[in-house]
Amino acid sequence: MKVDWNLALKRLVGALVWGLALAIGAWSISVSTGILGGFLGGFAGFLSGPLLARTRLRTPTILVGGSLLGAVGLWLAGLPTRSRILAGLFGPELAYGVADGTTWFLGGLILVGCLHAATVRHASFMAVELALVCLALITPLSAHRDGFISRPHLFVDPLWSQGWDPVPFLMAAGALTAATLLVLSVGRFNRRNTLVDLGLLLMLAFLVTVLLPLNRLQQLAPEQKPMGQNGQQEQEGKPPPPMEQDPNGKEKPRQKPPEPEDKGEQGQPKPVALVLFHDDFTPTDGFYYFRQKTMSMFNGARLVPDTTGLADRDVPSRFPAAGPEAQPGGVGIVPEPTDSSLTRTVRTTVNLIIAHPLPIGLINATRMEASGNPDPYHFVRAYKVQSAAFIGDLSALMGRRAGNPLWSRQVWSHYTRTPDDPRYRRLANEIVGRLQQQYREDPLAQAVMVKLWLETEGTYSLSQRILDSDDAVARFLFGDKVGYCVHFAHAATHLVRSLGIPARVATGYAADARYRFEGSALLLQDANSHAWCEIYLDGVGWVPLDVSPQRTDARPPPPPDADLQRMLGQLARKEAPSQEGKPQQKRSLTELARQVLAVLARGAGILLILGVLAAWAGKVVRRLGPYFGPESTRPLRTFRAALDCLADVGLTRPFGDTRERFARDLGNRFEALAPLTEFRMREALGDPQNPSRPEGRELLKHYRDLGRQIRRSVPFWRRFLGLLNPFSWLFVR
Amino acid sequence: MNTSTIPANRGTLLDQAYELAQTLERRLQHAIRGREAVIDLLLTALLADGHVLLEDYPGSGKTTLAKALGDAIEDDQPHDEIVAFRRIQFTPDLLPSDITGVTVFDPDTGSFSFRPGPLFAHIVLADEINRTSPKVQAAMLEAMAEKQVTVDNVSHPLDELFFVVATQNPRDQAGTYPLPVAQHDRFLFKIRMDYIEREAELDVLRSARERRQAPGLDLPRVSRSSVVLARRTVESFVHVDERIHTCLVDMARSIRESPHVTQGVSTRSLVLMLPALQASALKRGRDYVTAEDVAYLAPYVFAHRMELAPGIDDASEVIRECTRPAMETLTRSTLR
Repeated sequence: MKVDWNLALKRLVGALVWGLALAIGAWSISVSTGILGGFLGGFAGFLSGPLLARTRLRTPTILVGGSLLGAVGLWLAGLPTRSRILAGLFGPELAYGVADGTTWFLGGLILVGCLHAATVRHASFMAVELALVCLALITPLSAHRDGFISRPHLFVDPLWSQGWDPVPFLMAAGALTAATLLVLSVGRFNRRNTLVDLGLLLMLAFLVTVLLPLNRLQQLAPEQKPMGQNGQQEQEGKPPPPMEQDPNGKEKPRQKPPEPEDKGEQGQPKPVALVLFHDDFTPTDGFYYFRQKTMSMFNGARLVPDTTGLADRDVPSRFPAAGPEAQPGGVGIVPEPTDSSLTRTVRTTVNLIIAHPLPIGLINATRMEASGNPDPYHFVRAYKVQSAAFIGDLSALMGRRAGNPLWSRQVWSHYTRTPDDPRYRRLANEIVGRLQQQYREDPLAQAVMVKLWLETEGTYSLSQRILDSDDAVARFLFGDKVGYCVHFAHAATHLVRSLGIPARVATGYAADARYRFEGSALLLQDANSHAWCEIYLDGVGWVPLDVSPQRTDARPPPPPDADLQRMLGQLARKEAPSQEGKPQQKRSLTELARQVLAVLARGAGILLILGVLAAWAGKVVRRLGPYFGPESTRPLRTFRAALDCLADVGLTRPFGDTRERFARDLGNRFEALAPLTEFRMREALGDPQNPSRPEGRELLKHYRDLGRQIRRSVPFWRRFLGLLNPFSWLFVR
Repeated sequence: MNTSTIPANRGTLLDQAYELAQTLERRLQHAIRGREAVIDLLLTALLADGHVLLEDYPGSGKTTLAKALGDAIEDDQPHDEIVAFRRIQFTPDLLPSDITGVTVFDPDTGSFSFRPGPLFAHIVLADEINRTSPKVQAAMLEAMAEKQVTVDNVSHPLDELFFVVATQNPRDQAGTYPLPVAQHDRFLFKIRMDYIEREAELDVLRSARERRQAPGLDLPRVSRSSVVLARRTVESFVHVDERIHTCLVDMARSIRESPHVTQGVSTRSLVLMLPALQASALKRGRDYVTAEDVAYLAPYVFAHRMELAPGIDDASEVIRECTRPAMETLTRSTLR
């Protein structure tokens, strides 16, 4: 047998093109079996297309039948995951793999097979094929948008350093690739040049090699995230790390947020969160406090987070859930009752840049709700916080009682328990003794006195950051008084508690209000991490009592990079306008593209409807042709109407056949077509000086005969469908 | 409408020509069975004043066909030296004078006189034309093109009807002088005759004796001058639309540009094709040429004039591919 090597090579290359296209398409949305299934499906589908085209099935039958077959096939392919028995038999992983692989294989086989069969019959289907190949190629590139697959750093890093969002560029690269492929494939219409096919294959192979190593890297190493100005790579935990459940605080999440004042050895601070203010608010003391965690339970040796569940109920123990688990009130916060004249509501959105075990929120948070992540590329998660922020001066709180009279004895003792060491009590009394008589019994005055004393006596130093031993606070307070914020916060808490004032240690971030630069975005950095003491005043709730020693050997935390803060603020604000009803100031390119697409889609829909209506109108006008209009063109109009009638039932002249041949081929069923054809041909090609115009009545008689012959030989349902089809007459040529 | 250019008897002449073709067709179909397609082409060529090259195997009925045609045409000028039918069997040792005629010395008058050769006939069957030497072929082809022969520098006109049916055997090629493409160009049609259908062959056997006894003598014949008149009628009165011309030129250009063809068709072939199209239209009872005629005749007119690229052997397929766009344009123009 003679083998046509050229054809075989062409088929092979084509099959490889389709196989690779489907595999690439499956890349971003399927597992490895799906990719393999897609490849095999596309490969086999392309090879089976010509076989299918050689059958006697009509092209619409192939397409419609293929769709039905595909639906059944996909239903069957999904069985391993749907059927409990099969899923149990395979195990979840295998079941999913098998289902996905089968889905892609069957889908690819049927889609490509039917489509290619149609292309073999009608070259114009090539356009559909090409469009699908391009779509399959663009999909993985566009998947970058949501950060689903690893980023080509070579491409993205320079863009980031210029402050550009790389997504439009990635999309443009995808479109460019597709356009190149399209231009290359136009050569395929000639069907003579295997070189063009090889070019296509090379492009696909290039894409595969580009995607393959990146995907592997992503699976091996934790995702690397380039960060704006500092150029260092921040470790980013993809899933939220496990919560810090252990009350002892010994077990830390693997990738932990910075400890208070943990500046490390690096000179450059790292961004940890971006807070968007929806209400303009500047605290009177000039510092925003963002609380993450509190330690109020004295376990006999040290302060630890509460485990009784009775105290610190104003501090959320988990992140607000999104989606169906979301609760109307967000996370379970039991806000402390406050005097509304002293507080105002401040709404903020916190966008975490690195993962935190617990949510942070501006004090005092009364409500937390999940929010859509505006930019998953930059932010780990986002949530909205509503706080009852204290306004006014501390002096306004003079005279208020400490603690809440409604508290149970248990809660009282929880918040006032101090170490057994009598020195605390003695020192506290000594400090308070310096107060004037009239303020000596005032809890706030007492607490402020303690703060002032510590600020005067203590020395702030980051060199002393050991807080491991149980008596570290006592050693600090009764020793050299050199320590950092955690020491001071603990010391203040113990001292204040020994005066009978409920207090606790809070950790989180404290940021200078000036560094908001009058904008609505505030970038929190690891250098902002802080610990402070909080006291409880009746009607106000927890009030921070932050000790800032006068003597210090550390520089204050540097201001955040203003540009970075603004850029991240813009990214985080992406979702805000729709919720806040503010006009959007700057739309991103992708959003613009989406809106343009929406407009285009609407326009296309309207055009489609108009097109159908126009087609019907054209059909009616042409069908009425034999009855109206001037006598001179009646043969033409009658002949055209006759051809339209035949097109309605799917009979059109094959390309290249003459009209007489068409009439002859249909002669045994539609005898009246031949005279109508002859009248028209004589009119069209005959001697214009010797015209022989047929009688209008005779033409109409043949036309009606044809209608009768169609009714006789074509089943009713076929004629009915043809009558409804608005486009049938467009196939008349 | 300007009717002055249309003779009053236009319809009559066309009817007569159509009747003539019918008469000839009936006689030929009686004489030879199962060759309707060949007869149709043969008569089309006769009416179009073109010659025919038959490619066939021995015993396919070509002599019968040509002879029946000669018989069907009645010589209405019996006094001249031109006969109705001649058959020339071409052999390698044939000389040009053997077919054109010679000048002989007449001792009675003391002068030279021309004795006409077998070319001086209405119908000439040139059997196995590829077996003779190129010089004889050249003399033959000059006669075909010019309708005259030149002997001793004197040109002698041939009969106006002069119609050559040449044959060659496609298989037995040893010792032959194959006709070059340039000479193929002089034939209007090259017709390949294949074995006839089973039923037709049975019919041949059944009717052999009856046809030998009475070779269609009872059927009417046509006169030589009526054939010549029919030719003129066809050329004058069968309408060829401008769109047909466009179609022909586009087809020819498409064939020339095809990568499968090393030498395309000549302009002469298009000129020769016009009367053939008109004759074909007449034979189908039309007084205008349509795409149908073009589609029907294109392979017979073009196939033997083309030189195909190496590796390509089906000329009709190439022609079909190349002519289809022009044909489609022509066909679509009739729906506007």
